[in-house]
Amino acid sequence: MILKTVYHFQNFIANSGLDLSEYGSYLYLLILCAVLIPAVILGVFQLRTKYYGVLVSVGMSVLLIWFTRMGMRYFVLFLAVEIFLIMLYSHIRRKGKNKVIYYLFLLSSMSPLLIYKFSSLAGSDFFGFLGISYLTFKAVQMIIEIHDGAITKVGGFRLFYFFVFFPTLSSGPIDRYRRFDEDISRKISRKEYLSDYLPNGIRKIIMGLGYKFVLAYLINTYWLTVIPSGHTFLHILNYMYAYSFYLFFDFAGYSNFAVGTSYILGVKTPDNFHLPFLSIDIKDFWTRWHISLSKWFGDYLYSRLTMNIMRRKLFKNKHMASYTAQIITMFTMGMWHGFAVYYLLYGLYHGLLLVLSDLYERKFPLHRKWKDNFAYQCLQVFVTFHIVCFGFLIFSGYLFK
Amino acid sequence: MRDKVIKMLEDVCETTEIRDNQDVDLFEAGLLDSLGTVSLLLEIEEVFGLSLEPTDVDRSQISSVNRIVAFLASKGVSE
Repeated sequence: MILKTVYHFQNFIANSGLDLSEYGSYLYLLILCAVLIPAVILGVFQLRTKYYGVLVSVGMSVLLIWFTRMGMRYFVLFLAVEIFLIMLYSHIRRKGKNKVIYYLFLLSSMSPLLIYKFSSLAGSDFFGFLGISYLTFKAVQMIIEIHDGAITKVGGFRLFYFFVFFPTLSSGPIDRYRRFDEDISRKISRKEYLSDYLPNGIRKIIMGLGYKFVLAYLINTYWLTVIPSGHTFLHILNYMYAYSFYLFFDFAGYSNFAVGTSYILGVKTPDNFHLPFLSIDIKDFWTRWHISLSKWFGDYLYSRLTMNIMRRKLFKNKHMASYTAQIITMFTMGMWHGFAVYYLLYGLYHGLLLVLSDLYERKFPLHRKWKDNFAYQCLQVFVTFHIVCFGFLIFSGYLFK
Repeated sequence: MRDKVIKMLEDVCETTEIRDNQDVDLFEAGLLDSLGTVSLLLEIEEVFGLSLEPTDVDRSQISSVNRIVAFLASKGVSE
């Protein structure tokens, strides 16, 4: 009976052309408003929102994934597998550290994404569901921190909530379990809710609206999609700027929505963007662009790789260790986006940029002399902006069409 | 312990100004970055025998000499 209703509803949505993507349509925003009102009431009355949060998250994932045919059965299977792996590993880890078991669990926790990515190479979307790339980060991170001994207690309910938490379901920001767990366990006073969580949540949602529904929409409609075809130098340049601004306002808009919605549910999901086009160099850019992703790669890949290389003394100086880790990290980041040539190139490009800009800043005497000069800093921002935009041009795949 | 920490930071940050202001924020001053953090963790491992992963410490716990000293004390380092 329920299945039949869902089936009819799926058909209805498919035929109606209704857009139910996360923060992607006015219909979605309307539903969002409806589900957030009870959360605000709970917040005002100082009641815990986590039970309501789980309920709404389950409902929203049904809406976002099941009704829109985005791979609900794989989502359910993913949750079951990852939660089982994490609980089991946490149990085993209490008895002691074992490298082989650790790597086995690490690989297993990544396997849904690996299976999906490799099957997509073969042109199928086996194991694909909305949000798989982002949810995998949450799982891998937990296995690593359980191994470190940083996460010692894992509750089934809280773990489930961490994974299904709907505001960040489809594209992040990627939260951390310890932080999330602390947030949902603490009691928020009315004063705090009314002076911090609610107004800041609403402010971020309004920013999301402005970024995604006004700026990204305008850029896409009146700039990006009206660039004439044909790869002349001017068209390419024009596309590069248009695409970079579109990508930023669309993704930063989505992220603002996600963070704002989280706040209203009493969770301070970390911000994802901080004026990335005003970065002074490439290293600075990666602390301002898609922050939750670059921090993830920084913490769980780059830093650990660098430490291991330095421990083994593979290189004489620490900068060589860091450069090697930077290139491997950025290449992996590129690969995470997909196996298309332009994603791999994008990763390599940023890896090399990190190395070259570090060499420039450490070795070029004029840089040291000028670095506090305002005009020089403006020039740095200008140059970094263009280097970054060229990266997005590669990323867009436009040059390969 | 304090002297060892200062010595460590002088090596990692490649500067001799560490001792003068032990409350200065090393990240804001541009003296520590992610590579610096990694080097510092390895130094702590070598000198104090305390093995730490990058996600075991928060930036705010190691952002100045005084904070590092307090952090190490909280981890049971006493010498």
